[in-house]
Amino acid sequence: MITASGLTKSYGERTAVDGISFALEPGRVTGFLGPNGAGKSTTMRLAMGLDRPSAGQITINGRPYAEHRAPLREVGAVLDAGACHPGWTGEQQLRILAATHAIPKARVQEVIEMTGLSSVATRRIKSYSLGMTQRLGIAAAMLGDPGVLIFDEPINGLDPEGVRWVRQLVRRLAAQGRTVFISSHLMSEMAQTADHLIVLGQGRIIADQPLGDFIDPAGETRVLVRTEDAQALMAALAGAQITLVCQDAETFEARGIDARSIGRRALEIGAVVHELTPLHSSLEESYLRLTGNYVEHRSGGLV
Amino acid sequence: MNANTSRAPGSAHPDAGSTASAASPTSAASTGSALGAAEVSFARALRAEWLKLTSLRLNWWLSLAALAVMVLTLTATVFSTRYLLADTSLQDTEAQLTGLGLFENAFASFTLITLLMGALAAVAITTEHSSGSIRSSLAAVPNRSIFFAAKLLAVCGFIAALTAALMLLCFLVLLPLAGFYDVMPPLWEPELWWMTLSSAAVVIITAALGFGLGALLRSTAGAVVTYCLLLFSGPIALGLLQALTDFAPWVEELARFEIFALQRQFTAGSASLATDLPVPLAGALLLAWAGLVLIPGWLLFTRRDA
Ligand SMILES: Nc1ncnc2c1ncn2[C@@H]1O[C@H](COP(=O)(O)OP(=O)(O)O)[C@@H](O)[C@H]1O
Ligand SMILES: [Mg+2]
Repeated sequence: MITASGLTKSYGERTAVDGISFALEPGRVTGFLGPNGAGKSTTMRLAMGLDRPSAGQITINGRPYAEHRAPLREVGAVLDAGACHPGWTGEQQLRILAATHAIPKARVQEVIEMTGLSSVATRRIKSYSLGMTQRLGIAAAMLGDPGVLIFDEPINGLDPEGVRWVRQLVRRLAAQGRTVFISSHLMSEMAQTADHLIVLGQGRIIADQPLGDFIDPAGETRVLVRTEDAQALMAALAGAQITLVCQDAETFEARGIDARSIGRRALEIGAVVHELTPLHSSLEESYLRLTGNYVEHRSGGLV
Repeated sequence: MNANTSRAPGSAHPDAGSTASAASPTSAASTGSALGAAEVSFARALRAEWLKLTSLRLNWWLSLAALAVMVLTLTATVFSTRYLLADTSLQDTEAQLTGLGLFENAFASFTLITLLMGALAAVAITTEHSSGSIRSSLAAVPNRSIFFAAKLLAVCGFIAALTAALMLLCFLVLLPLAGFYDVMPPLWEPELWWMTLSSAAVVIITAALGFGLGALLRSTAGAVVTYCLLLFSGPIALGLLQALTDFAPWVEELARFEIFALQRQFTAGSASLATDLPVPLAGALLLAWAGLVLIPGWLLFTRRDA
């Protein structure tokens, strides 16, 4: 559980976070979406007690971060820009964190294996690729097996394999009943991982709703479906708000229904599905429309 | 809230049940892990800080440099003693003073070592800011006063251990040397022991100044430069003042409170001059110098954004 109320943070003249309130529920992935400079990282630093709020407060499991007596057991965080000393080895970094909570060596080895760092654990962090540093950050976050996880742009710099790994990990953590808070400036990324979205623009919340709601009002959800039983599935899907556009014998595009529902329906009627691709252009568009007024640096047109 | 989750109720808080956090799932039960974690305590924070110090290669380089300084000093002492004492045979008290002098010469190298240790102490805190590791450090130990105190104590402990090793080396070389030339200092009297202990204390207290500067300035270069300025600007400025005012009494008075002067007055022990500050006062003033930097450093550290 992460709860913010009237949370405000100013750096001098500049207000980075402007009186935001939200409550995150356990058991789901909450995406924190917004253009660069929207205040996502600042909010996460405030949650970790690294910065002090100018006004309002943010609590984790009912207390400000600093008041937890075993904070690593409650919260794990991967903040941006890698919070590791380049001169230590990955294993040393984890041992140091573990020492503060008397977490045994066996657990350190466990998170090293879990994050696939076994082969580089004894190398200095200096020599790590961005992907390895991210994995190390995740290993550190998992050290205390916390119920709340905070990830600030965790897929930045990861290769496709790494991106998929993070996505699956995040989904799995939420499925285990943990509160997962993950930031990104990419709607397409959030669409694949989050259950719920908080959209931030210039320090203010401009949307706080389930992913589905976010997409539906615009009525523009498009999913590309490729199936051997196109006719049968189309018949099964047909409904009031749903538009089905046939492309060829095995392919059609569905609007007004999300990929999950289509997959479930296909299973029910026993249709063999080859492809189920949410077409994000509309999602991306509605996000851009929502945040368009809040972007700090708009790219100028190239002449 | 966690009734529908696959994780067992947490046990992080002994008082769970009375707080909102009681409902948070925080147990390793479902993952079958080797997790057995306890609460953060000062001792655990201290252990982590000790691990950090010993994990950082720079600290071993600085320690090696300190060792090199001591080895050079001792080598020079051994050779110069051969020429100084080769064919004089000294009377009892003279011989004892000469023996003490050997140690005094060797301990003079601690001035240089103090510079290295001040840098080590400053880096212990500035490197956390420059690398960003301060964020994971404070995530693990969010109570900043505990963090600051643990780090300071670990740094002082590291420096104390190194200084003790260097002192031991001095004794291992100088005692046989003094015995060989028949200038043994009196081991049953406190002079030598006071000189040893107070010199070690001076290294630690002065290096703590570097730590305070690190906390204040957060930048390695800034802290190390300011540390050197703080130590050396005093003697230089006073020297100028003495020349300008033709050794006015108030300048002489002021000169007694400068850091190096306090170090000398503190370590002098029973050899303290009549014009010197009393030894305990000199020690207290040295501590005050350290406090002057450490206390604002601590206050700022607990209040600033990390
Ligand atoms: N330490 C700081 N000092 C001054 N301004 C800051 C600081 N941290 C963030 N900001 C400003 O606050 C705003 C929000 O930044 P940030 O939280 O990093 O955004 P995001 O993570 O959403 O990209 C930005 O305009 C940034 O320039
Ligand atoms: Mg950011």
